[in-house]
Amino acid sequence: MLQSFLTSLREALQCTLLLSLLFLHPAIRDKRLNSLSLLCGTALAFLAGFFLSYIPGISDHIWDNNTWTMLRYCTEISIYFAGAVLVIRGFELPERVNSMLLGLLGFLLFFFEARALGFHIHDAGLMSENVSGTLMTSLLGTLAGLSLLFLTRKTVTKIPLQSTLMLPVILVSVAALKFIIGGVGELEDGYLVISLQKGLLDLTENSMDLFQSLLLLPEHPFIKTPFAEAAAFLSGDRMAMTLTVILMMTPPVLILVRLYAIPDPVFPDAARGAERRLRIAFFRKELVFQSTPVILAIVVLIILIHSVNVSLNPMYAPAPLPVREAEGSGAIRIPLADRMGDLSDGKLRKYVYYYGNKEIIFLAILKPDGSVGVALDQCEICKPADWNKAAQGYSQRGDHLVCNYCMTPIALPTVGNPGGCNPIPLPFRLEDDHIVIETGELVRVFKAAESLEKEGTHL
Amino acid sequence: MTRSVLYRIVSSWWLTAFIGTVLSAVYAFFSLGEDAFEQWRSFIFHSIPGISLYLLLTANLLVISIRIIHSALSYPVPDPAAVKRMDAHVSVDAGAGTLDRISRWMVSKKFKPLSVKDGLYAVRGRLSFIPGLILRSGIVMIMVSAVFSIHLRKTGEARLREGGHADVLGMEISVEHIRSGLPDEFLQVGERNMFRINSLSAQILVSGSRKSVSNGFPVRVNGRYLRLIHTGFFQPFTFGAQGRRLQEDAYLDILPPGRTHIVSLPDGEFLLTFRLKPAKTIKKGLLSGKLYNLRKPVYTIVVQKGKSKNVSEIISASPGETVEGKGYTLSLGKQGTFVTLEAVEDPALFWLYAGTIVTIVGILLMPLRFFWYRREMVATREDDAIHIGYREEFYRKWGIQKFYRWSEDILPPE
Repeated sequence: MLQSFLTSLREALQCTLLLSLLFLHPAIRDKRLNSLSLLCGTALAFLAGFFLSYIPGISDHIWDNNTWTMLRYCTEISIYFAGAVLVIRGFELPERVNSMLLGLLGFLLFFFEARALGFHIHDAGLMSENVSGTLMTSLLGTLAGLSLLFLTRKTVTKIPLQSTLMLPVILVSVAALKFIIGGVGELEDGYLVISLQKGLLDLTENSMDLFQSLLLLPEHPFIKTPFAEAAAFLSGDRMAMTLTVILMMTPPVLILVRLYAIPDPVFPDAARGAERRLRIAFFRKELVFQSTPVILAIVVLIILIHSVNVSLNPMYAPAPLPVREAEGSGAIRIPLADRMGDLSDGKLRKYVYYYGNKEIIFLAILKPDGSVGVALDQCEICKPADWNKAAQGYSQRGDHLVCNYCMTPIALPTVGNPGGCNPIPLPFRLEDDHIVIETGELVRVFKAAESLEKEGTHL
Repeated sequence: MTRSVLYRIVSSWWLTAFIGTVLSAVYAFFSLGEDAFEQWRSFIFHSIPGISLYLLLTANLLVISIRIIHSALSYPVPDPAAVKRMDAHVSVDAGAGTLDRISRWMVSKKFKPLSVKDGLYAVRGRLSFIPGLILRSGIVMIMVSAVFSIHLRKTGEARLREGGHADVLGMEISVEHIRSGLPDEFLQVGERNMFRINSLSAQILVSGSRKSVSNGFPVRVNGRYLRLIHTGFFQPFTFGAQGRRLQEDAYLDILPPGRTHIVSLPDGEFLLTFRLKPAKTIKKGLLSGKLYNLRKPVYTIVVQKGKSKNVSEIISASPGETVEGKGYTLSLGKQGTFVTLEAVEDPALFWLYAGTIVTIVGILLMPLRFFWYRREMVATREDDAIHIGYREEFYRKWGIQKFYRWSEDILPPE
């Protein structure tokens, strides 16, 4: 029950944050009709969304979960781009239409969240066999979270940004926050950016195939086609990523460009001198205030896009930590756990030992059976040429090491075994929670590996 | 709806954005199901709403270009209210010779003023719309020709060996010579296929004239476009069983090495599955590579017989060799290469290529727009004053500052 309370509280707090941002705008805060409309839209969204999905099967009878998620994404991106549309062309609408649109905004911002929350709470109630208790604690959590909006409303209005914030800026900021906090984490761990990127990849790939077929130059499995490389580049995942970034960055960048393209005002009454400079300084300060949320939105988007890319391509290759010989021992001693981390987390560790002008990079990792694998960060087979040294060594992907050159997955239990594309094993021993590697042995194995390189024919 | 309103709507970028949004929404909707792109393509090119949207977008881009050309090339008659609406303006007393002085001042700022009714009009970067116009023209050409291509294209293809002939789209084509860029040897390592043929060409005779076709750009012959789209091994063989001899020409589609091709003999009793046999296998550590001799290939042939084809025998044979199996004899003749020739009748293909080239030129020219943009300076008389206005297409903030700096030359000192 505590879990449902906390989940509802968290969602309500997120709602409060977004509403507070909207209430920073004077046209929403000061005009009763507008603020009432926004709050009514929000309340309706919570009630309709929550009970639509709390009562079993209703929302599923309307659409399946994928369609609901798609609608959520479409709504979020529409709100986001509405900011860009408003900044290009401001619309003068009648008061009533404005308030109706604000009501719709409130509804669309929170309806999908409430729907997911209702589903989660219903599920949690069934699991704990206390449906009514879970529902009550959830409602309590929601009310607690939303009450913060009314408690802090006066404080929010005192924030100096309120007098300068434009509606497009607020919309873009709200939508950017929705991208990162949208959805109920317990149910959905997908981001709009992932779906967008996958959709764009599919679109660019297929569009390019269609275009190549129209030009009578379709791709062939083994016969070279003119401009095949260019087509592959234009329809590859990098291009999809670039398009995603361009698409996501357009509204905030457009707003920034618009803001900073406004010329310094002319003050005919304050011809020149200190007063004119003061007024221009005030104008520029306002510009900075106006652009702050947009810059924050850009930062949020950069973090989101970066995290999405990391999650789409989770190759983990840590930078090697320099190690040296323990004084007088002729051996390198690496603690299994220290302030640099604990080997028991199962993550790949790399170390570098400087031998003359050579760098000997080796790795250590905890294997699933609890033993430690220590090996050089290179193998007998893959010897990238000098220009391709970045492809040397191994990265970690899930429960495998992956050869950076041939992308062969290496099962962790086999680390420490010689042969194939496995990393070249290093003799070591465990002593007092330390990995101990004799320096002489390390250099010997390294030299043997180096001599192998001369036989390599790799690119 | 008046004609001017319709023109304003159709020539609006907002309409472009609207159609783009609708098409994106349709794609998003289709992405909920299987094969989203194919459904989307079918919607755009084969459904009435899709074609309507597509043609509206084409018309929109075309009319936008017309509007831009019209507004860029026309000289507006300056009026004081319009001058005051420009990005920046100043006013000077209209004394005798002031307009001449302003004209000289404009010339000093690299503008060439034209005398218009009661004033001056000068513009720099008047043709700066050209890169955008080229880009849009290319896109429109592609869009229009794509519709024609999709609906009017006729395609035919034939597998041909040296000396072979076929009728493709009403053309009698015979192949005189095939030049295939097949390597003599190919080493296959790992699962990923690295087999590539860079060049493939054939000398053909079409209606008495000799032409060369390749795997590159299509060649136009008698209004059709010809191109080589595939290759493989041509292998004649004789199969003898139960006192009968069958002579067959097999077009073996067994490239890249590892691929199999099934030949079903006419009597239905025997099934032959061909595959290239590696000349040797090289092992290094856990990796192994298969070396294929493509100049003198050796086939692994699975011979299946009986109604259910479950009785099989695996044999190896190379061209020119005869193999005696259990109840049959297989004699392979001289092996060669075959090509698959594609012939296409498409009235819009030329325009597709032209549109592609124009679009690429447009894209290459577009960066010029960073430096090549429209700058207008207008002077007009109103009562005892002359208003001078200035506008820049881009970098307006800097333009305004620049204009006020320039205007210090013409304004009386304070």
